[in-house]
Amino acid sequence: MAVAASHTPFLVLDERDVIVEVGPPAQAQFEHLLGCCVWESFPGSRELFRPHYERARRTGQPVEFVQFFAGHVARVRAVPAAGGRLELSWESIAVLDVLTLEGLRSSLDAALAILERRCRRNSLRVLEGSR
Amino acid sequence: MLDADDRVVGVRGGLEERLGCFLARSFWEASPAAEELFRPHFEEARRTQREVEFTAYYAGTLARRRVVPSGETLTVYVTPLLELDVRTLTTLAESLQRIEAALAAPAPARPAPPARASLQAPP
Repeated sequence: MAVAASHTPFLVLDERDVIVEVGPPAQAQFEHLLGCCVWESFPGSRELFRPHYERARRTGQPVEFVQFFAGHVARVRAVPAAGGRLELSWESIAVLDVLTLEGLRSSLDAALAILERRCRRNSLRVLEGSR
Repeated sequence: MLDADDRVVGVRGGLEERLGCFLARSFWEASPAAEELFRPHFEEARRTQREVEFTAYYAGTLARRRVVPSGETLTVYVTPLLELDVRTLTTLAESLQRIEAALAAPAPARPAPPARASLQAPP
């Protein structure tokens, strides 16, 4: 399967959001989760990611979004496939520096700025789309 | 336990798995950005030859550290207090708030050691 460039981490969820395939760049992090429900594997992630995944399945169109989770801001792409499967790929855009409070505050500011810019851009798209 | 050059020369108390790989390494090389947080306390302990206790955030954990000098050697006891939870922005904000509140709170007063004279005073 070719969901993304070979260096981009990807994984595939089945229709019940069980991880059924893990791309080589993501294996160190996800291979041990093969056969597990992604929401149970990553507590707290369901409400952040599921609406996007449902939209991709509902519309049959790829969905791209930027989300903060587990100390990373990542651009995630969800591509619907046959049988309710979803092919997920992602790119880390920012990582929190948790070593010191100073580093944490400044990296958090940077992460929030990325999220805010992305949010503003999406709002503009919605406004332009409604014209 | 740190030697006079701040090399890690011993790890005990259940920290072996996490910190054992630091053995024989400089504590500052093994702990990036820790030097400016901890070194003043370590130096105070060596200079005064008295225990120093402080609470600091480092690498996702707010911990109380008790530094016990014995000559130039230091034994550092670490008691974790609060963990930063980076799962979501909500958990991050909540845990960061708890950590900042704990750091802002006045340190609990430690009972002063009894004066030598009082030990000799009659009941």
